[in-house]
Amino acid sequence: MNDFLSGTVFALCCIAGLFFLRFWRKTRDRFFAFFAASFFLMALHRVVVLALRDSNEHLVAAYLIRLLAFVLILVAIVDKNRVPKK
Amino acid sequence: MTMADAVFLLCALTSLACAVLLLRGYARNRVPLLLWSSLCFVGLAVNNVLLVVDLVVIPQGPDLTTFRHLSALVSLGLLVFGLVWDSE
Amino acid sequence: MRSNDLPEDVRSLITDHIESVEQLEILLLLHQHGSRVWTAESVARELRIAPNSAGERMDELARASILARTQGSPAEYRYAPKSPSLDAAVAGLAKAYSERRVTVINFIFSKPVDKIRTFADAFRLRRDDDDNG
Repeated sequence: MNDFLSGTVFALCCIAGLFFLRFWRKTRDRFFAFFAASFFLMALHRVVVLALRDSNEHLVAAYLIRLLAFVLILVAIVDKNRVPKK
Repeated sequence: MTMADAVFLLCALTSLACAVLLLRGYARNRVPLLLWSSLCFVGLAVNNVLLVVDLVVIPQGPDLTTFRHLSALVSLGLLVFGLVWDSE
Repeated sequence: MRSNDLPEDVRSLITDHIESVEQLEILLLLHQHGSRVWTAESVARELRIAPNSAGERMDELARASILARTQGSPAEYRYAPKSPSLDAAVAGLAKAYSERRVTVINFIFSKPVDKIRTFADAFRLRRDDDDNG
């Protein structure tokens, strides 16, 4: 059950990432590139948690990926507010 | 507070910040996409808090894994719904 | 006349920077007179609109780097687009407005809400009318 849920979340993260990728392509606003990367990392996080399930390493590696995903969102917000409005 | 706690709380706070900004945007513009994505980030904040609780606060207690996955599922579900239904 | 008869750069210019017919007329007035310097008062007299309103519209255009604004009181404005392509777009807009006035006006009023940009704009911490610090 948990694996099914996790797999579904993985797929939804990928879809969200794809949408943001499309928005980036459309608007050339790198804000969306950051968001796309962030959601793809969230998807990767799911895979890594699953793959490393039986090892003791999984907490550190997987959750660093999650941290990076959220840091990228922070970077996106900071970057959006740094660049002077054209 | 350990490093892990701090990390997950940072994730939760970032999610909440996004939710607040998007809600503020929705109040101004009434674009439904903003509402769905803000709910997504609220859910992700809940997800991160559940993670802290599950791994750190009550590690020996009941396993919250299913709840964590459900919160992530609902969050992402709302976001993808908003993106598919209302992004153009 | 359908609005996709308008050239792409003109449509982008309107979508990005022109919110009202008043703003359009102000921009075209300054464009027409090249390097002449205007104040909100002088523009208001010329176009017979309220000076406050004229000043606000010109501030918006200055923030968009289409007009240059000098500090001081009263503030002075001059047509000064930041790039040749922007200048070309304004020239195209002037031509379109003189030849197909109704099409241009309809296009201004039918601007669709850009949902994607609204999403990104929600993350701007300051309100749009603040200057960046």
